[in-house]
Amino acid sequence: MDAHNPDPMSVPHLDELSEVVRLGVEHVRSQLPPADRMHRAVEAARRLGPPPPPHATRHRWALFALTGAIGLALIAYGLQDERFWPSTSDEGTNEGMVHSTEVNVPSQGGRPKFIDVDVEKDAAPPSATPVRLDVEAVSGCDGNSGPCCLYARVRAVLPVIDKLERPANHALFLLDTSKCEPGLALRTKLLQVLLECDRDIQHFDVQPLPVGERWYQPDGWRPNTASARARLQDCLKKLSVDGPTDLASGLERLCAPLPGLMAGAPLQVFLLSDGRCKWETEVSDLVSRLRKHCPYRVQFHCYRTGLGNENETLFESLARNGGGTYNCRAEADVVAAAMAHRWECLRLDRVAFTGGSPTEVLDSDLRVAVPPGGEVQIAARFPQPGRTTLVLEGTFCGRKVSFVHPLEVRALPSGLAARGWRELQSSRGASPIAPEPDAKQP
Amino acid sequence: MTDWDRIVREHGPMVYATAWRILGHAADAEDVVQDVFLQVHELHKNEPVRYWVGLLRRLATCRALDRLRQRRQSSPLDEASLPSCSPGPEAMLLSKELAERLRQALAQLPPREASVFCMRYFEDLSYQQIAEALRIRVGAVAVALHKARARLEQYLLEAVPGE
Repeated sequence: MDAHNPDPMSVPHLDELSEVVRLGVEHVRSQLPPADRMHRAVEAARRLGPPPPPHATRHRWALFALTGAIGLALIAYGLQDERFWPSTSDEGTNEGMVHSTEVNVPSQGGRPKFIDVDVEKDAAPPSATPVRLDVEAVSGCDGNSGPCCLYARVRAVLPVIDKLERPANHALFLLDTSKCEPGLALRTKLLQVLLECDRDIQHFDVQPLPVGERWYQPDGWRPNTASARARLQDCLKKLSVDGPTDLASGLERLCAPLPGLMAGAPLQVFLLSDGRCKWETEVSDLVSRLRKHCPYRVQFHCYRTGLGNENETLFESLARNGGGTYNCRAEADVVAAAMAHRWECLRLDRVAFTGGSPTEVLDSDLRVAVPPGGEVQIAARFPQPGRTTLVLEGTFCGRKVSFVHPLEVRALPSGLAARGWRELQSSRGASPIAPEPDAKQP
Repeated sequence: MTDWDRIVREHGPMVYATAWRILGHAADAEDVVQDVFLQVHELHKNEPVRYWVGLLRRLATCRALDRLRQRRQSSPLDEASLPSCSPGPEAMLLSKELAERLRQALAQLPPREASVFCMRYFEDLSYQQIAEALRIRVGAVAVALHKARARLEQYLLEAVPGE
């Protein structure tokens, strides 16, 4: 699992367990805690304790003020004493006041009443928490004499760390309703879970794409309540799927003031699409127009329910102000994906193989934020069977991380590996890794 | 944001995940989170906490195991979870069954052995980290782990007579 650290005392090896124990442990390890329940538990725990440092700070200031007041009173009543005032010469009153506070305020060592919790010093920083990638791979020849294919699913086993910044209370959902992909049900589910899980979203609105004038709530925002979410679901069930989405017209609405939201207010925009949105202009024009005219402090979260990477550059440009691009490809991923914008995610910067000389490498998630429990799909073709090593490099919590995982490319025919390769290839428009940016959309 | 907020936000998910792995039950894990933070709050009133991660991990493991022992006789329904690439319904059911039996067997272990086992195999901690969290020697960790493995194997083989 961890090729960097083979010390048996630092890394647990499941092989040392008997089979019956190992199977149970493997199952436990493969499961992820339900994100919404975890979030709820943490929020409830937050309300348990008092806020120590402001408390301490307030007490410190209160003591400071009190001591000053006592000093003033002593001066006022002429009760100065050499025990308190080492210098009894003709010093001014102000100097005496300063002196008195210096004498009476206890030093750092003599402050037993205050509880100071120095989190930064005592606790391990988030970057020190373990990060693990679980790799499941299948390999084999495409047919009897075709090239060797390797298809791998990499699951990110990351610690769940909340982002510290508080998101905006208003959320706008741009919902791709294109019928070219059967992902609308998934996007609708994602929208629902996002609203349920993110307790900081207090008001929301939904705009289906292509837009026209069809706002779900044209005259204002819905409160994020159970009844409002149920009504939204009813409304979305009646929504008819459309042809290609016109993202530009959706973004255009953000260039004018929205009802009930003051200019300059923070706003979260969730773009839920299959990753193949269309528009007529250059990406740079689209984004610069938005930046120039949008009256709000917008943070974009781009969710992709398909494998397509056509909108990679657009998503990256939109999410530059602190948002992100996330994948959600199956119902099992919805809960983890729905919390991805609130969690620290792994961002993969490089996928490569050392050894084996692959002729082509495809990946599904380069430059996408992979949340705890998220998956990355990788496929590669090799001229011949043999050993190779998968190398993944990325960033987590601002720290560079890299993983290596040895793999064996087999020579036996494998329809699964070949199919995995083809699916990824067709979704990427047959472009190998590091595709050309989508400078202009068709 | 206060320091208490920061402590809970940074370590709360770890506490929840630790409890959830041991219990396999979301509501129980939520209760453990509450118990742990209540307890840590009381502890923290009396003396400053030096190493939050270790303390919280130890408390989460111990409280979750306590709860596991309490519910030994009853078997709660497992809640919806997020499986990884499922190998098939049959294999999935089998491994789920084994996981449940493993949890039942963990409840029968002595507390130290159960804690050491969970920290090692569920949380991927090194011997050194376990020793620090439980305030025992590294050698004691190794011994407890060895005993835990042997006992678990015995319990599970007894529970699965066909094996």
